[in-house]
Amino acid sequence: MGFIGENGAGKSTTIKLILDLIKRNSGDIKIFGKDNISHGINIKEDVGIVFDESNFPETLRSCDVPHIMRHIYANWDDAVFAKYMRKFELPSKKPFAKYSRGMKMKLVIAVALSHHAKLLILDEATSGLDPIVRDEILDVFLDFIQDEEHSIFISSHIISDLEKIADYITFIHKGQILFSESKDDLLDKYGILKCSAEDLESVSPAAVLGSRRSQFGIEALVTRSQVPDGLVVDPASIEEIMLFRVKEAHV
Amino acid sequence: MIGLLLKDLFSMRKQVAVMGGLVVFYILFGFILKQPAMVSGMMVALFIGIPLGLMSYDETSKWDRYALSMPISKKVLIGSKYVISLIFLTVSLLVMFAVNFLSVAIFPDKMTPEDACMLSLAVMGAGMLYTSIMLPVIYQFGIERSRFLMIVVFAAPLILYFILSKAGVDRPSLYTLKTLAYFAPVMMIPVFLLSACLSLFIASRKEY
Repeated sequence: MGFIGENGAGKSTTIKLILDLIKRNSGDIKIFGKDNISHGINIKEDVGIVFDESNFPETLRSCDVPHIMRHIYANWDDAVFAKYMRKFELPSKKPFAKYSRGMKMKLVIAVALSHHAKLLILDEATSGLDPIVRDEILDVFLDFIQDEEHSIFISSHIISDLEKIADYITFIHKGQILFSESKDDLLDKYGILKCSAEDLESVSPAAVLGSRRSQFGIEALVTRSQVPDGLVVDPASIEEIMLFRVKEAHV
Repeated sequence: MIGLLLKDLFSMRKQVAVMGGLVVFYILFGFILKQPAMVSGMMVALFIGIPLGLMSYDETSKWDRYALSMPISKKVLIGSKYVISLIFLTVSLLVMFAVNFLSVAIFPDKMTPEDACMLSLAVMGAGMLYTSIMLPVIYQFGIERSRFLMIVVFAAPLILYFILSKAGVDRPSLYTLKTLAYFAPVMMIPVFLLSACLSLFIASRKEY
């Protein structure tokens, strides 16, 4: 599931709540059907986490990591970690201080994948990485979700990443979920109508989810099925759906 | 807990060589000046600095947030810092014993075996007290904002001694001082445990 929203919308707060890193005021959170606080330790055995930066002290080396992690995760697998170290071509004797940002992120991803987690939670894990590293990492995530028991919850500003790997998109705005739907349904359901102001009046207001004026006319995010025949509706990208919905929420 | 302790030990791998050099330097310095007693103070200052340095690494890398996203409770996370502190304080006690008994052999006129024991245990107790004060402070304010307080707390006994002697307060008897020195580490155990509880309370209210 891709988790999108502008800065300050509540993406990282949601992830911190899921991981019980901050106090919740109300409500409850269930992961694998269990309460995230009372079963926190058991749940976290099956969760791999990647934040927007590597959180290992910079004096450590990757050859230290298995020695540490096998005492933390009951299902830690040295062989899987070694496989990812080779795949990502990470030097094992170099202190993390000498790793590039891409190498550090690959390392934490290798850790998240080396204890047979069923759920990966990624908080802006691909931000700040060059397209080549991002592509390499996204391929690893795609491999991970080939197993039907595996899921990824990924928050990102990079919508193209989400379009590549997410089956569902959840959009948060000012702490409220504006939509949470299958990506294919979203792309099928919504479209961009480019027309004149008069043409737009012929469309039911309920079908228009957001609009903006340009010097060439009006662009509107519409529900495709409710647009009268004769008007041309272009496919909408996830980014366009998000932008129109945010603008509409501001009105 | 073992994973966290290993993480701390691996993190300070580079420091070990520097520390070894400093220990040798302090010992030579104390012996050349014929002031073996001061070596103990320097030694404990060196060893109590280790967990504080490790906390600085953790804070910079936001390790605590990451660790709490793993199957690690706050109790274990906080407890590991107290355990690592105790490990280094014990190492410092062993080094102090060795250095002080070496001093007894080299400077029999300056230090007796009884002084060597008393000094080592008293300094160990002082180290435990310092750690007990500083860890909750660091959990509350973070390492950067606690730096000034670290110096104040370190200098506090001297300041207190100066104030009390100016105020004309009588020094405790030699017997009282000796008893306090011998039992300092044991007396500090409840303080150490209380400090751990306080740190846990602070961490339980903290957002990561």
